[in-house]
Amino acid sequence: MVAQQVSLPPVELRIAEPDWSHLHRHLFPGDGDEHGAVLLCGMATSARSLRLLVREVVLAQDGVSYVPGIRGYRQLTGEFISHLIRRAKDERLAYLAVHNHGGNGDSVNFSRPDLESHERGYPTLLNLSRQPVGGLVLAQRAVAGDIWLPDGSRRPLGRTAVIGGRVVVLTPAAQQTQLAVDARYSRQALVFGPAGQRILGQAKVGIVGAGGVGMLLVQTLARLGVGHLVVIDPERIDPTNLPRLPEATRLDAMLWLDHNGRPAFVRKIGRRLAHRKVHVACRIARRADSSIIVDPVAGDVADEVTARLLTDCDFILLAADTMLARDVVNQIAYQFLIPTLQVGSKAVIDQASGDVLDIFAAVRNLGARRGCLRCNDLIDLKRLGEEALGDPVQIRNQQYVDDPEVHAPSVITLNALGAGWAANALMQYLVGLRPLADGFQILRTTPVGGSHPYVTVQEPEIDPSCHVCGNKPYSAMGRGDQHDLPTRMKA
Amino acid sequence: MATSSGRSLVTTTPETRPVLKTAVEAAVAALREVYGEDQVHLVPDGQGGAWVEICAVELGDTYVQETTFVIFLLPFNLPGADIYPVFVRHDLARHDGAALGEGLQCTTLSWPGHPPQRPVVQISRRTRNGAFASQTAVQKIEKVMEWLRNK
Repeated sequence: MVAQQVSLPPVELRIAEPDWSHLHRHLFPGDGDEHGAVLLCGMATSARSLRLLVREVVLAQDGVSYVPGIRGYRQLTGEFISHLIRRAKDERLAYLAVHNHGGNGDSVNFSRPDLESHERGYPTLLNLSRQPVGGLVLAQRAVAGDIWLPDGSRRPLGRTAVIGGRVVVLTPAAQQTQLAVDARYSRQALVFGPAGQRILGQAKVGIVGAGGVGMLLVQTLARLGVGHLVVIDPERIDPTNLPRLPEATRLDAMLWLDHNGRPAFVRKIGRRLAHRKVHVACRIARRADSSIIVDPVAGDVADEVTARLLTDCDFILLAADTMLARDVVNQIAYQFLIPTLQVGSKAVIDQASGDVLDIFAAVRNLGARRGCLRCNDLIDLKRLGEEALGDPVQIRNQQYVDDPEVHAPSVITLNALGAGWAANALMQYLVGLRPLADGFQILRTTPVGGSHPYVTVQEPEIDPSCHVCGNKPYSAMGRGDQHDLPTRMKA
Repeated sequence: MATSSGRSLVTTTPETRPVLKTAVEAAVAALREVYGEDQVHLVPDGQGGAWVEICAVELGDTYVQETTFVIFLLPFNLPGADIYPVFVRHDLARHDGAALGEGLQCTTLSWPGHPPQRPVVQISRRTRNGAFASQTAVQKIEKVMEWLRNK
């Protein structure tokens, strides 16, 4: 085995809150004794981190599969291990054996017998499964891990992130660092402290869609002090975007070429020369904070290579309105266990009379809990099919009737309602002030009727057979890199 | 392209190398097992999906013709997408002389196969409730053809 190299990305365990509670209750029932379990995990590898994503928690029953040990205090039975290592191999999942220690609860580490048992057993398990194997030891508020990888390296677990309504990060020992706050952030640090500001500075947030909502999010998060943004949008600035995109200029839209007084070919040139939305997003973010890292991605998140850029984010904001984008990001949220907010605004207009029937913004919490956009019929399957088909001639032949040139109504004030709500939720979640709201939230500036309050919270439907967030063997939940995304595969 | 942040603008213009997504490959393998290797022809759509043409599928007693080709797209986003619609021969006619009826309509298929513009009858049968993941491509096609035979 090779000692850990400094340049290697840290190993992080990510576990959904219900799975964490299930595991924690089993390990700490209040008897002060030691208990065991196994985690089967998907994996997500990037330059930033190696993430182990808990897909399934298998509890070891005391006296049946967790028994008095030959060399140590307790051990998993051979039969239990053999069954699960075979599953790990077949389903290409990492195998992590878990047990608990007592102590003060704020720090934990493996005992010498623990490490000796790893050295005796893990080379064989690694050989059998060809997937990462390892051990975790838990105290009440600390987790340590010893991870063995198929490339021959052996790495400590850096941190454990519990993905739920409230962000919980656990390490082998409580970290206490004296932090100074940049003077620029002194006012907001009064709300969430230097530690909160540091968390924001270390966060990587994906923003899908740099339109009316997405651009406001870029501006807000850059000023808030988020350290790294990945902004994805394939489009260029259009003159009709200018009333809704902060800091976008007439030059960005090439308005001097693309306006009604110009011949068609000149307007076409103008549209081709117009600046990309992600370029403007980058400029906005840099003006807010010159030290921010921005990855401007001029691509469609429905393309495989683009979608994969999101898989090591800490948080994703979905502000795109195509069904393919919704579907892809919805799946990333669950497949990679990344808290995600879908943000949008809508004006419902009677086509015949032109009357405004309803105006609202929606903020929907995904990834942190089951009940996804698929479970709730929030992906229009007809439009999804049309977008996946791609060929406009065949789309017409199949008699899809929606006119792609008819744009949805959009107003900056309404977009700001959703963007502000989502940015607040993100800030409070990341710094640990407030949990993410459980339900899908519908926000109205003025209620349309007596039945509509200002904020409507919809309890999401959960479909256990959902192929994205369900609990069936075919679901994408926690699968990580090993499972296809619903993306175009052209690169 | 450098941006104002000094980082490169990432453009993700796709290549056109034909590849199939895992779920599409699995669906093709299952279709070939049921209908025969030489009866199932494939035209990749360049996005990870594939157009499939199954030759000579029996139509039963309802129709003048004994068999038809069956064409459909296995979209790149399987299993989260419907296999819809399904196309069969354009001269489909009933023995009783009645119109083909609801769910069937004459149209032209524009696809990357041959010929690129092909007259067909479109069968519009959607899978309800988004229950795609629990239904295989073979089950879907069998279900549609059973509906056609019994119509």
